[in-house]
Amino acid sequence: MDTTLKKTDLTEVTADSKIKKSVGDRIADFLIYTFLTILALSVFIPFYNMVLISFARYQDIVRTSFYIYPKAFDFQNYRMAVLYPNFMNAALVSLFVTVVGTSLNMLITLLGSYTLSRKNMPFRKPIFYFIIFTMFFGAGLIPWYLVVRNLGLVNSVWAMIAPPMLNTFYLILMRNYFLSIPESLEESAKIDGANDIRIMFQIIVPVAAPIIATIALFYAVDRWNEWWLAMLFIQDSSKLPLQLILRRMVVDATIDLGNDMMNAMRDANIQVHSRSLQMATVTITTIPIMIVYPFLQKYFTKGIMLGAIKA
Amino acid sequence: MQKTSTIAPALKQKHSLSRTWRKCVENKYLLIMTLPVLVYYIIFNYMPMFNVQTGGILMAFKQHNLTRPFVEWDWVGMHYFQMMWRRPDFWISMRNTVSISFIRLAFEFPMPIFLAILLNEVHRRKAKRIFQTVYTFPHFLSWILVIGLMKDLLQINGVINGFMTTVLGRQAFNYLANDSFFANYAMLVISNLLKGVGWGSIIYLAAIAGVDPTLYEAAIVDGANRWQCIRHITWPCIKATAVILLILQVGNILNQGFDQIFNLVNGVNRNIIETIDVYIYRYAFQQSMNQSFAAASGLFKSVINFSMLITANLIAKKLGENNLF
Repeated sequence: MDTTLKKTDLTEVTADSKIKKSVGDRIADFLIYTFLTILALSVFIPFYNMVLISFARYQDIVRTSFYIYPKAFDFQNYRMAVLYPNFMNAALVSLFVTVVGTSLNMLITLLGSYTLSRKNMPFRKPIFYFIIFTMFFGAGLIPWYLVVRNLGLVNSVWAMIAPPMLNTFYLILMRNYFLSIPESLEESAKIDGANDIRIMFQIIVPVAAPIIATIALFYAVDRWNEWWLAMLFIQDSSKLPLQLILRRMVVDATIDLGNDMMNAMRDANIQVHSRSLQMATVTITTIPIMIVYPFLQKYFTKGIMLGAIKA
Repeated sequence: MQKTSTIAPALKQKHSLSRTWRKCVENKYLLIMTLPVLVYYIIFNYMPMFNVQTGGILMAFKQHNLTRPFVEWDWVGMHYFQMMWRRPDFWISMRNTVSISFIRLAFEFPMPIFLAILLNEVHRRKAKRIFQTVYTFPHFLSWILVIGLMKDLLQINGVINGFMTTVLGRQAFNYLANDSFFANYAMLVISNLLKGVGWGSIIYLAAIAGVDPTLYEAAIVDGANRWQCIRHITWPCIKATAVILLILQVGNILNQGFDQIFNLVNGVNRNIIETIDVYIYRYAFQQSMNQSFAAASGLFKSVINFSMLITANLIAKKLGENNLF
């Protein structure tokens, strides 16, 4: 008992070792684990398939009707994906939108959530309702589209940055976190005569680092995944984000390699299956999310818990 | 503050305006800081509703005319709403939206609760973490990516059809373009669940984490079994969260996963899965370019959603459950 106490942590001990498990408990455990494992596999299989197909050779896909284990690791598909017309350009656009968009998102969200969390804020309640109302009622797609168009955002990368500059849900999450910070923290700064801008950046922001990291990551993921605004407002193929290039490839199933690339491929006798090219592009687009995912996971439970949904 | 409360009530009224003014001056930095936020909401949320130049909500009541500015459009009243009412394709998209909504409510709404309860029963920390890591990941991918994965799995020579034909000896089936209600709705529900169930369960897991562990200990000492613990301790603790999410879900009855459906709709399954949002998009940008008609449909949708939310909230209040406002 002593040794197990050292090894396992306290919650497990209270749950498991107090009473010897009954047969019914064991069956229940088995069923729970089976269900959870099947669910995990169902989530995992599409990604396995993605990587598998992205490395497959042309002949593997054409000849095998049920391709489930790798026969080769062919990087050709990835090379083709990167060389795909406008791909690199689109990656840069997506990167720009993500970096600039997230920075602006964070600035505005910080300002909004800080001011709305201050008790001495004039018109605090009316402003809060003014904001909340937009979560439940909107004018609809067309009136909104016309406003954005009138702002001159058509065919500009800013169309992917300005309209989603603020997310009301994230704003409220952050405000709720700020409300939980004790006021005594900023008292000394107030006595020194610091204004609100300084209090926010020098006192509140460092204390609220976890929620700020969470919200920043949420925003970054949203900006990276942006396709809808680009589809509505962007016409130049050189300004398209990665998601839209991908959309044309997988949703519209139009793969247009361009004449130069087609000729080069014919000369070099390279055959690329459209499925492999699609999956290689999907994989590349997934990688940035995979990279930030561990950080996201570290924070989101905490962030959601503290923010709760009740405003 | 102390001073004002001691003044006679009649005087208080007179002073309240100047007091508000003083409060504003005292907190001028806070006001300056909110300005960008207010500007954002005015431009992107309120201007679309009320805007003389583009029409806002009023667009739905005026004759659409590309050659003239909005102010000169003819007033047609409820014409577009009547037109919408008469169109069979509008009703098809309405029917699809409502049926998808109910199917989601029945199958997708309870799943995160179920998953959270099951995960809470997993006492091995490492296993729990691995499960959660896998379940939550797809939430962060765009629907474009997920549909890319789906299409590869489900296409005629994809893995699922490969399994059906070579292992089960069945006929290949085109999951992505067919007019079967069952196949289409199953595809929508399963893909949405695999993408979002892990994320959905987090909020319930957070609620469960707030439960006092001594409650479980006391119950076990009293001889409660696992099911009784779930029924009488875990469930009451997540019920409040479930009710609030249910209200929000009902308020979103006409917003059914635009990203997912928009990217899956094609000529074959249009009559089965095209929802009102996709319909509005089609009318606004593809078909007739009749933006007034699309605006009318959009307004209709917003009003229905808003009233559903209020009704659901009212019912929850009447039943003595948690509510939003």
